[in-house]
Amino acid sequence: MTPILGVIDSSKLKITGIFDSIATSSPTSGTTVTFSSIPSTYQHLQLRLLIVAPSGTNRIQFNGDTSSANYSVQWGPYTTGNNGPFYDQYGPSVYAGFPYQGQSQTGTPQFIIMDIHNYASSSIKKTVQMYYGAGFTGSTGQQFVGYVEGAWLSTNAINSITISSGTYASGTKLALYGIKVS
Amino acid sequence: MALTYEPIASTTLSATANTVTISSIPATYDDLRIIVTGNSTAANTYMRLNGDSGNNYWFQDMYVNSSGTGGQYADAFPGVWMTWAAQWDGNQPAMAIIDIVGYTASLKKNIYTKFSGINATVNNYPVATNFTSWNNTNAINSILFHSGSGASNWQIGTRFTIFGIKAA
Repeated sequence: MTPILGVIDSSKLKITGIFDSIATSSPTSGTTVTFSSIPSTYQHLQLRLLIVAPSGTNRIQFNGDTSSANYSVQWGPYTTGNNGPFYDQYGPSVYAGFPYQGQSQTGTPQFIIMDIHNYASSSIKKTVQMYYGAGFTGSTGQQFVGYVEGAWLSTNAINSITISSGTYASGTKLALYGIKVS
Repeated sequence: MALTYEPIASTTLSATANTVTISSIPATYDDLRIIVTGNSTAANTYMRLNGDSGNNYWFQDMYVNSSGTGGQYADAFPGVWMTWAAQWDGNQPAMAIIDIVGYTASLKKNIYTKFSGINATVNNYPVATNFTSWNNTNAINSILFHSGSGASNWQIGTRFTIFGIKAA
């Protein structure tokens, strides 16, 4: 038996008010995008990033904070080729988290999905979890996949996020979503 | 606030099947999230995009199970591997969550899979993460879920759901 299914009527299954789009950007130049004036009305945030930037490493920081003492990062597990998984500690860092390897190439994007927990709290430090992947099709064993866990050691509510990379190219899309618990 | 996360297709098998295809996926979202729960009698399963059965998929995997940890890659494969190293066993519950970021973008496609399950046959409790790059810039409009060659099948009750995620 081989079921072949069409798309059902999504109006019967809609989810509302739980996962909202807050901001999006599609840069084709420059190295930095900042989402500012983030509302404090959600429980968590999620970044979904499709990055085309032939060189450079992707980095994320909060509220314009560039102090190296205020971030901590754990890389891993991650792998490439028939190796790993590997783990590396890295921190304190200027950045809340970035892929250990896997910068994108022209026409071959990298994706990053990052959850930012309790971003609006004014009493707890902030934690993030990120997973990412990049593939250089046509090159032997040049795919990357991994996780990054990080912390911003501040109790301030996050109201802006800066995403830095190599020079952004066409096809890049950076999106920020808000997640409500109830 | 605009609706940004909604299910666009779902099916639960009432009979075993070697393949399941979800077609006519609309191009109106930015990302797809696919959730597969249930089981297969195939040790390993895979997906094909837009019916492409050519060697156009580049794959990287990392896993942990009761035997240890590992990483593997495969270049120029004929599908997106959902699992690797005997992760389904036909009986125990398992699940795969697949993210495709930018499924309509004019770029090569990134497919990310997280899998967890129980393979009681080999006393194996695998957790795996896979990344595949599809060497194709076409928008994805159909996904075939393949339960491997021979007599291997998706089992009754296995559920396939696709969500669309839309940015502002």
